[in-house]
Order: sequence, then structure tokens, then C-alpha cells
Amino acid sequence: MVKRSQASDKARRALKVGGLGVRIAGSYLGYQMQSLFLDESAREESKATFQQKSAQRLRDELGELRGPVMKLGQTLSMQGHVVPEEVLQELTDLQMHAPPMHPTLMRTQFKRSMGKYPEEVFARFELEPFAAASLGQVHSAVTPGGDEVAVKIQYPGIREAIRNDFALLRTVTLPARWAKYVSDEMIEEAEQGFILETDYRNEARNIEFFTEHASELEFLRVPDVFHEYSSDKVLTMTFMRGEFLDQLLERDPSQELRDRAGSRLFELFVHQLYNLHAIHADPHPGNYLYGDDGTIALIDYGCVKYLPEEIVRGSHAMADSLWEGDEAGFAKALQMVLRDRIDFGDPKSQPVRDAFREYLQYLMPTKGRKRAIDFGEPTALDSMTSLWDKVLRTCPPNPEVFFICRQELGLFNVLYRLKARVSTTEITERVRGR
Amino acid sequence: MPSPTKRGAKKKPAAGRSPKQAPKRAPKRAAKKPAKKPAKKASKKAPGKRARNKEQTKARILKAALELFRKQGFHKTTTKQISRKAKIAEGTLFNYFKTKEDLALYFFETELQSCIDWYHEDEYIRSAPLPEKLFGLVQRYLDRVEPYEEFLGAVYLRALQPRSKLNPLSLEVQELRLRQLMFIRDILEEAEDNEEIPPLGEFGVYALGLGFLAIVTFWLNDASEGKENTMALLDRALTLGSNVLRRGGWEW
Repeated sequence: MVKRSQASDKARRALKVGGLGVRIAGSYLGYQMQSLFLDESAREESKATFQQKSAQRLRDELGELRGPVMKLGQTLSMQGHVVPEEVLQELTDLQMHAPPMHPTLMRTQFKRSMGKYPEEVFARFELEPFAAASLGQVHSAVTPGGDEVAVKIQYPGIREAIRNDFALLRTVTLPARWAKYVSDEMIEEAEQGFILETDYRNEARNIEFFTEHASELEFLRVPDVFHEYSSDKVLTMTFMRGEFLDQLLERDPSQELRDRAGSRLFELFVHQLYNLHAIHADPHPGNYLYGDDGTIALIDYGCVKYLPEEIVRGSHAMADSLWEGDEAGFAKALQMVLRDRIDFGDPKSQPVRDAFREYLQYLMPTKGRKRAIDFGEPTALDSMTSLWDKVLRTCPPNPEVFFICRQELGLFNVLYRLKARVSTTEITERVRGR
Repeated sequence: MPSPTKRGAKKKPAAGRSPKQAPKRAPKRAAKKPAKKPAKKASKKAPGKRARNKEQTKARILKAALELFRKQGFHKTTTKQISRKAKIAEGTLFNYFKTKEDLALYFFETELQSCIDWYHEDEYIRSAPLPEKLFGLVQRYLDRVEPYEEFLGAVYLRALQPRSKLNPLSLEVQELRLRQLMFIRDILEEAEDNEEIPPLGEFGVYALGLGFLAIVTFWLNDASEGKENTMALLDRALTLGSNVLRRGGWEW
């Protein structure tokens, strides 16, 4: 009886979407909502209760607005104090556990895009996907040439669904405490970003950009794109091996290994910011694979932000001014990065500057500091997230800064879980060639 | 140019088949009654052959008609053009199909039959879970009729006319519809026997039949690239629907 009412409760909750005017079929959310109906027996009771609870919280927290929220939830995931962590976990889970396409649908989608069925194209092709990726699922395959590849196939109708969700988002007034975090410009940016992500050819270009410009990072592995087996909805690339963060942590690695992985992740990030002028902007831990040999494979290049020059110059200037203790220089650099959103002549801007400076001390080189930062200290992560929250409260930043910081917080989160000690000053100065 | 080669190709396998079959049976009996045998065979199969010939002609006419429909649309195509294309006299065409509407009905009939045949022959789809099975069937149907989208649209419009044979209330359409519903019933019964879904009875059959019509209508209006939105709608509706059914519905 209890079970029954829970199930129907779930159904009702899911169907409320219909009441919202989101056509179930036309919504990306609708697609994800199906996972609420996934086979019950596959779940342990505890998981189900947890899901129930967090789904409840999700509803409370996000109100009636659920469509694009799934995607925006990711964008907001850096704001630990706005959205509870369990809910964020829930959002990520929904994202990752969208029901897979059955073989008939997958084959149809593949053929629509490539003109042939996958088994006609590849020497071997696994009908069961081995992973869910952004907007699609990934199958392992072997090319006629004998290369082991991962074939990412997009869910049908995703582009349309994202458009629908954002159209809905625009018609709804955001809860006041959200509105101040989420500007129209950011929604626009997010939609453009997601739409761009639906074109896998764009992702292929991103991969090649990284291959070309990040080769000096010897520990980094970037997949190769197989263009002859790729289209806007199918992306075939080298099959990458390695462990996910969770798997790595399960083995309880030595502190040395933790520090090495953490330092490399940090170097990868600053290298992107200062040398690549582009940021792999999806900080999901599932996008990093750790090899036995200490290498790190970066996968999923759907969302890469290319930074305008003044942001990069501003970042350099910020680092320099902080190093020199040049207060005026810092204000100027900050202004450059924030694209004149703040008038630093205004005395009210002082708290913003302070918040930024405090926040940046973890990232930016500090003169005389040789000691590595211990990211395992919970205080570090806490103070970073609350500082970031403060920054957001006082000055909603421009999208580029938002993306950089999202990546930073994602990174800090991983470093925290790794309990890594990282010599941030040394790495940043080396990468910047100072 | 294309027709002679096609014809040639058609004749070849037919010619190739008979000598293959002949030696199998020939060795023993050929010695006994070599002359009578083929004669008997011919006389026995004569009505079948005539019927087969008739079907072949009908198929040829349909093929010619569909090609014209695809190229210039249903309305613009005349029976004269069809008969010329099928290389038969206009009067002969009339013997087979009184109107273009009869041709349309014949088209739907053959498509339905091909669907049923495919389902029974394809082991993968037969053993797939219900949503995948239904997806496969509808998707295959849509893939097949895709070149004749305009034709289908025209048929839909025609169906609105009360006196048309394509009207849903006409005897011919009712008969076709019944066959379709029976096919759906078979599929649902299998799923019910496998306990994939609770017993739905006739309600399920009618609901699915209606759902199919809705999908085709959506498909006709679908302007998305590669009709991808229809695929998405079909998939999500089927997944959601069958999952809800599996749980025995919900309280509203």
C-alpha cells in the first residue's frame, strides 16, 4: 500500500510537468523524468528513499520550474549555499541516468545521421551503451581498421527540447533569490551553449583544439576524432582507458598519488586559462579518467569556452598585481575581467574587491608562499564556496568569469575529495612562465 | 533505361529457380512420367498462377503510381499517366483499380501486410520489449512511406470527404482498420502473456490504434530535420506509457 502510493506520488509529480505546459515529448526534462519510472526492482530501498527525499527537496527548492533547471542546475552547482548538495547530486544523477535508447532507436538515430546502420560501418559494435554522456550515450566499437573507439550517439530531438525548455524558462518569473544570480544574459549564454553542445562537430573541433594546443602537458591524454565515422549527432573517438575519481578513491591511494593527481589537475586548469585561453567548462568528475601511469584523460569536450583576450590579460594582471601587492593594479585587473560591471571608484565596491581577493588567494600565486595548499581541509572548500557566494551576491559576473569560476569550484571539489596538497604558487608561476 | 534491366533481373531468378527445383524431384519420377508431370503441375497451379500474375500486375501498377505520386503528387497524377507508366491499357488499369482511391487502399493494405510479415520474420524485434517492438514497427512503417509523404497527406485530406472510399467509415477502410487492430491485439496479447503489461483488453488495442494515427499525423506535420521529433515523440510516449502501465497506472 505504502509502496503503491509512493509510486503514484512520483507519477503525479512527474506528470505535473504536463500541467506546466511542458510537452513531455518535447522537453529534455520530460526525457529525464522517465528515469523516475525506471525499473523499481533495480534500486535498493535506501536509494529509493533518498531519491524520494531529495526529489522532494528538489521540488521545494526549485519550485515549479523544472525544465531547463536540470541544465541550469549544473550551471548553478557552484553555489553550494543556494542548492543543497544532495539535490545537486540528484540533478547530476538524473542527467547521467537518462534512460538509454534501446537498440532499435539507437540504430535508427545512427542511420538517420550516418546513412548506414552501425554494424554496417564498424567491424564490431556493442549494442549496449557503456556510458551516458551529455545529450547522448556512448557505445564501444572497433573500426574496420582495428581501432578501439567510443561512439557517442545523440538522443533524438534534444535540440528542440532544449529550445522548448528555454522558451518556457523565459516565460516564468524566477524566484527572487534566483533572479539575482541568474541574469538574462546568462540564460541566453546557457542556451547558446547547450544548443552548441548538440552539434557534435563542434565538439570534434574542441577536441582537435586541445590536441593541438595542450600537447605540452605530457600527462594529458586527449582522444582522436574519427571524422569518417562522425556527424553532428554521432561522434567517434579513441576509446579512453582509466579510472573515474570514485574508483580511484576506492583503492585508497597514497598521499603521493593524491598530490600528483591533484597537482596535475590544477596544472591542467591554469594551463587552459593562461596558455590555451579556453576552458573545458564541464567540471563533472566523470569527465576525467585517471591512468595507472599517472596520466589524466580528459573526455567530453561538448562545452569548451574560448576566452576573450581581455579576460586572459586581466587574469594575468590580477596574478601580477596580487603578487606585487599592487592594490590599484588589482582593481584595474578586476575591472578588466569583470568587463566594467563594477565601478571601483565607488566606495561600495570595496567588499567585492575584498571578496575576490580573498577568493583568489587559493588560485593566484602568493609571494613567499612555498607551502602547498591542503585542499583536503574542509575549511578551504567551505571558505571558497562561501566567498564565491559573496562575490555573486555583490556582483553577478559576466558569463566568462562565471564559467571560469564554475570550473574552479569543480576543481576544488575534486581536489577536496582527493585530499590533495597542491603547490599552487609554484605551478601557476611555472605555467605563466614567470 | 531502368525498366528493361529491372525486368531482366526479375526474369532471371524465376528462370534460375525452375531448373534448380526440377533436378531435385526429377531424377526418380522423371523416368516414370516425364511428359505428364510438368503438364499436371501447370494445370494444378494455373489458378494460383493467374492470381499471382494478377497480384504482380497490381504491384506493378502500384509501383508506377507511387513513383508518379512521389514525383508530381497525388492530385496531379492521372490514371492515364499511371497506365502509361505501368505499360498497360487504361482499361486494364480500370479492371484492377476503379479509382486512385482504390490504389491508395491497396497501398495501405500491402504496407500493413509487409509490416505483419516483417514482424513475424524478424526474430530480434519479436523478442524485444514491448516499447522497442512498437517503436520498431512504427519506425519501419514511417521509413517505408517516407518517400510518399505528400501522397499520405493527400489521403488524409481525402479521408475527410464523406463519400470517399478513404473515409474512416467506409467499408474498405473499416476492413483495413480491423486487420490493423487485430495485429495490434496479437502484439498486446503477447505482451500480456509475458506479463510485460497488465491485461488491457480492447481498450489497449484501440488506444494504440489511435496512438498510431496520432503519430502519423504528427509525422506529417513534423518539419524537423530527418523527422527527428517524431522519433523522439514516439520513443518517449512509448517508454513513458509502458512504464506507467507496468505500474498499473496511477491515481489522478
